[in-house]
Amino acid sequence: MKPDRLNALTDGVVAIVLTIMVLELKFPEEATLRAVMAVLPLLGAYLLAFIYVAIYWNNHHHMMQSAKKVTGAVLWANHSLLFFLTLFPLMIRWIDEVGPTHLPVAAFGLVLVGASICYLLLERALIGAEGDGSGVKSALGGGMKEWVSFAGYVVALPVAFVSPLVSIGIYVAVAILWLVPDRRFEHRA
Amino acid sequence: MKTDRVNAFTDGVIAIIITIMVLELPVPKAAGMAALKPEATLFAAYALAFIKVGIYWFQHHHLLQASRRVDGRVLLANLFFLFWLSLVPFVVRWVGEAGVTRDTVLAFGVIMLLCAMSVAILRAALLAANEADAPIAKLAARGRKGQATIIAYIIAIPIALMWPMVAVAIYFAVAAMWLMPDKSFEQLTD
Repeated sequence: MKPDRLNALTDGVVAIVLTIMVLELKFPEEATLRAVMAVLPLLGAYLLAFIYVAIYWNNHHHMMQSAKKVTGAVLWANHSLLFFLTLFPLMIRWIDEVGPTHLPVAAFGLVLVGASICYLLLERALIGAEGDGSGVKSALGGGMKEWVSFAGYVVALPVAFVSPLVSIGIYVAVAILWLVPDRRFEHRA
Repeated sequence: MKTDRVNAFTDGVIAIIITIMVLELPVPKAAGMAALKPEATLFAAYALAFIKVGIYWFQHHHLLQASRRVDGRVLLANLFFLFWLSLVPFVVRWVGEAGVTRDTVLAFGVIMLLCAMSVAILRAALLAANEADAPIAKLAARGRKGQATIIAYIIAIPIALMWPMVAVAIYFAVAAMWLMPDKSFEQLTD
C-alpha cells in the first residue's frame, strides 16, 4: 500500500489541530498592562504547543519522504500518533482554566510521552514494512534525538508535581533541540 | 472516474470528524487528582470514538486501495457513509452532557450499525464499478469481519436497553477485532 492517503489524513488532522488551538486564545479583558500579563501564560502555552505540533509534522513529512510502503501496523502507529496530537488543544484549554499548575503541566508531559512513543512505533513499523533495505532505516540511524527527547519528557513528568516551571523549561529545551533542522532525510530526498 | 478525489474528500471529512471531537472534551476546573475523575468517562468515550473513526478510515482506505475506479453510485454510497460517520462527534457530545446512559449507548450503537452497513453498501458499489479481476473482488470475498461487525451491533443495540455497560463491552470487543493486523490484505494489494 502506498503512503499517499496516510499523508493526506495526517496533514488534514494536523492542520485542524493547529487551527483549533487558536480558538482557545483570549483577548486581554481590558487595555491595561496587568490584563495583558494575565493572558501571557496562555499565549506561551499556545506557542509551545504550536511548535511541538509543527515539529511532529515536520519530522513526519521528512520521514514519509523516504517511505515507499505502508502496512496495517504503520496505519495504526500513525493513528495513535494523531490521537496524541489532537490532545494538544485540550492541554492549552486546561492551562487557560487553571494556569500552569502541577496537573496540566504534567498532563502536557504525558501527551508528549505518548506522542513520542507513537512516533518511535511509527518509525519501527515503517522499517518493518520495508525490510532491511528501508530508506527510512538508513536515514534514521540510531534515532538519538528521539530517545533524548523521550528521556526529557519522562523526567519532566514527575518533576511537574514539584516544580511546573522546571518541567516547562525541559519542554522548551527539547523543542529547541528539534528546531535545529534534521538533516538525516534532506540529504536523501 | 479515478479514485483520487473521492479519497481526498473522504480524508478531509474524516480528519475534521476526528479532530473536532476534542472540542467536546472538558477540562477539570479545580486543581488536584480528584477533579480528573468526572472527566475520565468522557475521555474514554473520546478514545473509543477516535479508534472507531480510525477503523472506518482503514476500511475505506483498504477498499479504495483495492479499487481501480469509482462511479456515481460509489460517490453516493461514500456520501451516505460519511453522513453516519459525521454523527460520531455528536454522540460524543451527548455522552459529555448526559453520561453513559441507556440512550447515549443506544445512539452510539445505532450510528455504528449504520456506519458498518454503509461500508457494506460502499463495498457493493465498488465491486459493481470494478472489473472481476480487480483486487476488490478478492477482498470482498473475504468480508467476514464486516459481517461480524454488523451482527455484533445488531446484538448490542437491544442489550443497550437493558445493560448499557454490556453493550459498551461489545463496542470495545468489535474495536479489538479490527485492531488485529490483516496480513493477507497487504499481500493482496502489493
